[in-house]
Amino acid sequence: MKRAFFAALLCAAAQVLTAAPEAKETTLSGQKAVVLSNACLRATVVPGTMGALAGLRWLPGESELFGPYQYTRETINELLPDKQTVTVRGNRTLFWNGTVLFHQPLGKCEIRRAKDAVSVAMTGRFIGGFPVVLTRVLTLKEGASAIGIAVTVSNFGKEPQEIRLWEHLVADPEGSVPDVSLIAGPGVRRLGRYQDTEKHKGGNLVVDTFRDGNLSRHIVPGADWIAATGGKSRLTVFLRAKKEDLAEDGFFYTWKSETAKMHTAEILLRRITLEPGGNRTFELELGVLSGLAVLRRLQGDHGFDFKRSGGTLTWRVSVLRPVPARKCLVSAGTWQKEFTLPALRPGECAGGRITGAPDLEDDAFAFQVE
Amino acid sequence: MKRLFLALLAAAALPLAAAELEIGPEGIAVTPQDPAANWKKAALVPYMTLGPEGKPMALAFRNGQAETPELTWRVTAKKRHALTEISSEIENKTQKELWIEPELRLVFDGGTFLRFWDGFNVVKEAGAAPLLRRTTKSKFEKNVGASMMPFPVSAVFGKKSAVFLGGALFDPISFSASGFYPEARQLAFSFRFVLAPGKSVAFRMFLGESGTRYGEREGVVQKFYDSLPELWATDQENPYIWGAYTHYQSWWAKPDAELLRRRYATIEWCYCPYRRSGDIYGYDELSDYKMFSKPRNVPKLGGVMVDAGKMTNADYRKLRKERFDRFGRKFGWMFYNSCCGLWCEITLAQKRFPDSINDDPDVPRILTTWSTAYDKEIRTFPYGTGYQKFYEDSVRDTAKEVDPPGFAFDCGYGGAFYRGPAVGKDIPGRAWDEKGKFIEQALAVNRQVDLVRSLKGRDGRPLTAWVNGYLKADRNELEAGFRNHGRFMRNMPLWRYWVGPKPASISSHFMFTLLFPDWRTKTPEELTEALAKVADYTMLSAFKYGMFYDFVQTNGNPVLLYVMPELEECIRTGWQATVPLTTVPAGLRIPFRSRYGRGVQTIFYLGNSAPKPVSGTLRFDNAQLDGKRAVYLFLRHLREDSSTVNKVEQGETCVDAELPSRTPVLFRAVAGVDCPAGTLVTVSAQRQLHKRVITLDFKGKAFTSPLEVRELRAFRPAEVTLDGKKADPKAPLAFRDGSRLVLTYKSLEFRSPASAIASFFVGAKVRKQAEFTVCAPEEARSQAERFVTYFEFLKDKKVFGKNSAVPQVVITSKPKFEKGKILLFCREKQVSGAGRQSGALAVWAASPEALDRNITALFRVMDKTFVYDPPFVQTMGLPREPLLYTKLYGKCLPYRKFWGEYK
Repeated sequence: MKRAFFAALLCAAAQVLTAAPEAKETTLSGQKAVVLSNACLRATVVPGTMGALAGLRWLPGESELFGPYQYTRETINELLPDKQTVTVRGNRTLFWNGTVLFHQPLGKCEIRRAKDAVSVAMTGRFIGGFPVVLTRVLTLKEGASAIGIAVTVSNFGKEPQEIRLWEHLVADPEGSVPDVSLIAGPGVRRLGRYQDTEKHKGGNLVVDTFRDGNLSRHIVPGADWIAATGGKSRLTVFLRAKKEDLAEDGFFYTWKSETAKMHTAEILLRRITLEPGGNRTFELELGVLSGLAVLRRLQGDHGFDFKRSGGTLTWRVSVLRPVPARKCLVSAGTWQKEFTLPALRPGECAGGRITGAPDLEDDAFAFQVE
Repeated sequence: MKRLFLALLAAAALPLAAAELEIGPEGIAVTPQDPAANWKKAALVPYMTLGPEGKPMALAFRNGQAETPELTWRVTAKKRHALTEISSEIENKTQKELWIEPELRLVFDGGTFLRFWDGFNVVKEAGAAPLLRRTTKSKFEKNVGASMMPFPVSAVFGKKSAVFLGGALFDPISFSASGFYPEARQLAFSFRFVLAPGKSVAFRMFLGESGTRYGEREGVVQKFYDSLPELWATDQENPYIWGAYTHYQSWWAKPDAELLRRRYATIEWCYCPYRRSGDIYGYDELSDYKMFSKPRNVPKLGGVMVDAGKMTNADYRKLRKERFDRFGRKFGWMFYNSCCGLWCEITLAQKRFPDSINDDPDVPRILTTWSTAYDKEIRTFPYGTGYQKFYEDSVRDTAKEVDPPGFAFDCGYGGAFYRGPAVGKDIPGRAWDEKGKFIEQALAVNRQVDLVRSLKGRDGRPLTAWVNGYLKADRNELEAGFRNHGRFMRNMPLWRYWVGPKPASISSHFMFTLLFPDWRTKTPEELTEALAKVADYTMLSAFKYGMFYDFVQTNGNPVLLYVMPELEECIRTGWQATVPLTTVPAGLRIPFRSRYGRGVQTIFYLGNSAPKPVSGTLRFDNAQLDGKRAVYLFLRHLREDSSTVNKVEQGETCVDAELPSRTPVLFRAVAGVDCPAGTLVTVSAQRQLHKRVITLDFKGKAFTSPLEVRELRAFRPAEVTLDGKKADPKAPLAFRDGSRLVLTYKSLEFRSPASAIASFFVGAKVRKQAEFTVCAPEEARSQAERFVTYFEFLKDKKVFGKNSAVPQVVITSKPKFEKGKILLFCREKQVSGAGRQSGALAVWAASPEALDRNITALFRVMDKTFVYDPPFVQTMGLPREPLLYTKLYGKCLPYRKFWGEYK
């Protein structure tokens, strides 16, 4: 017999989520900034520092997801360029094989407003030391707790350029030291720059900063997302890339230094070669889910956490956009069960139990939403 | 009643001596000697913590002895220049192992203390709460090393004075702690030891006072430099440590002797000259093992492509020996050495030396494909473990077979704790914490440096230890650029305090993209100016920190090579912590300043980075120079003739100076005398290549004083005349108003002025043909051939034409002095030098090595005639594109010879 129950909704979040998205100019730590907001998120973007998503506020719970942002500019000596420092928290696009400069400007900035979405498009040249134009467009749609990230790289140099896009994310929901979760693929897992490697069979991986210390990891992807979950509201910030951009040699990267205080959640897309005059656009998504202990499955607009105990599978779900009730198929090996997910909006979550689950490892369970 | 009284009197010219310390039946009383001290009296009270869970217990010294049921603690004290050395011995009276933390606390009876320094890089404001340092680890600093350790002191600062307790760097101490308890007015400093049953431990701490006028921490550190110079002792005759780092240019590629010489390169970091990490010698029985990954064919050993996977062990060692025999001593090849035994191929360590594995979780433990690029390596500890004997034997065997001039030690950092089985042995240096017993990694590094220094090469010279880090060494390296705001700034000034007067160098990539990510937005002219500014910043910083830079910086920046002789002189003289000078007007902006040497060997450096000159009066505080005389007289450096007016006022020597923009300014002490205030002394110099004449004209009241005269390297000691009569500087001399003191130095390298040497090459310069003959005895053949190499290099660099003549070498034991001949003489007891005689140019020396040195000196003079400045080319961290954009590729930035040239 299928048994399910729906957990209490997080009513604090049950407000009207249909306000039209807005974009307005502001300043942050003395720099020009653009705020994109809808009923779920208020995202503050700083074009002057790599178009960083520097501030992110989860409006249903009035929770900060990135902590304070700070930019400083200091003259060391008149013979040297100024020393600029930027808070490591937030999200930005870098090049893995380029010079890492958090303060490089994407100086050309344009706000775009549509009926149900707002965007900020930022462009800079010679990013990471490459003769490329990089355009980063962040888009927030009505009612969504996710931001679309479109990165276009154009090679205006005379030589082919081999590049690897590095989408950087450091989140600390509600000031927490979050757990970083991801699904690893089978393969060699490299630990640290010079450190050890180990063979990994793949599956869910949770990096607990307190347990794992300063360990850094390069991990073969087993899915298309990496996430950080923490805070009393268990808010999850994830980055998701397209599978094809992770294919071949793309990998996840999570590391911590003493100064960072927490592990990062980063995606390294596969290497590509841009011929002179060539360009390429990469699309990613940065989203926020609430109420999950750890994000274990991300399927479309639905994020799941689950735990199996004996024959009972306890699950919990949260969403990125308002969704109607849907059928969901949970499977493990040859076992399958179908159940119904309720209509949900961002900030709400639901949960339930399914009996008869087989005695298989958690990694064997998959959720397929209709 | 036994009373030990240490009266520490300060000589007139000496800075403040250590606090007075009286060991008596009621304890140890301390009285400040600094008139500016804001405390009148203190007691030195022993505390003891019995670990791991005990609390500090106050004990009492009675006639220098404290007792507990478990132990006896005896102390004695003696003056060590400006410090008081407090020697302790603690005896374990029990039959069980004791974990002890002996602590000395200075308990003040009053006074106001504003700030506290715990030995790390920050001085903390003193409030009500105790300020404690209970760790010796800091931020993990180097990929494979560990972290900066604190300078082992505990210091409190009043408005004008400081008082401190501390230990000696490099003593075998694994753990120190420092603390200040403001409410109880207690300054604490402690060590931790593990004491075997019935055994004793001996250690030393230091008590000192310092002024804060020239820096709070700097004043403290300077006392250690002044009082314990043996910790930073250097060998001035070591041919490798006083020059630029070759930075793989003689290791990856076939060495280009002339290019390296023009870059002032004397030392090379020979990265990984072994097949298996941990086995640097390459023992046959260990050579057959499964490599973690496949070796690659890489250039090393002076440009040979080496694939360790395809060579037999015997062939590898044979090749290595042949290459070191050929190039090792010539190019200062320091044998890279498994990081003092801190890393070892993992299976070797696990199978043969499992007790040596260091599993400190705070630092990387296992490295994949690092030093050899195909081994997996694990952190090891070569002290008290099974690996110690093997490693030390392999160092000896390598030294014997390869005969390198020295060893290059990576990872010369502390900050990693070994807790393996060896901590169960009764070996010096064991400490403890809540996790158990441990030994600090730094102890192993210092031990291995001592081993290397105890070995001698075939030339009879002790081997050199070059350490990437701040620990014990003949020369230290910092792997970060001056412009690296991260690592460099984070390490400074603590790293510099540790290294002190020893030679140091810095190496990094150029960091162009990091500095100029937006370079395309600049015009070529703007970018060129930005590059020139960066070069000047490097130059000014090098003099500030006393560090050699390498070719990554000097390519295209000939000004950095122009100043290299003076930079070398400064570094040889020894970097000091305090720069005891003030300015009028006060606060004159001089962002770059440093001091080298003490007493009459002092050099002050000042650098103005502003676009315009700054002017004012510089007041050198003689009492802080730690010399023998009350007053030192200074001369501004030029290579041309110059003079400086010195006015003596209240123990200070005052000179007026204009500091030009972006130009290093040096003031050298030339002599020290006990002259009265108000004396005016004009110091002038006539400088020629082969001779220096320093004239001091005195105006003011008559006085009698011994004289202290500066020693100049590569010159014979000065002949001294006072008012035209030869004078003995050791005897008191009578100076009157109008006296003239003349110091004459003669060069050990040259017998003729530069103009005479240049005149020999006029024809060659005009015709771009080296149409002359080099005559030399057989034993100087290779030295004679250097002249051929010199001119071949000029052809290669297109200074001379492709088909231009190079010198002919004639081997003869009876050369004739004739026009157009360069004669080399190499005879025992030969007076050294180079100069013109009967139309010829001759170089004399007592040995081939000395001849080589003199030829190198001669070549530097010839370089002024045959100019070649290594230009900008694409190199580490400097891409080709911006050089093409600025049209600087293959060219150099212009510069001013702001010091002129020797005549």
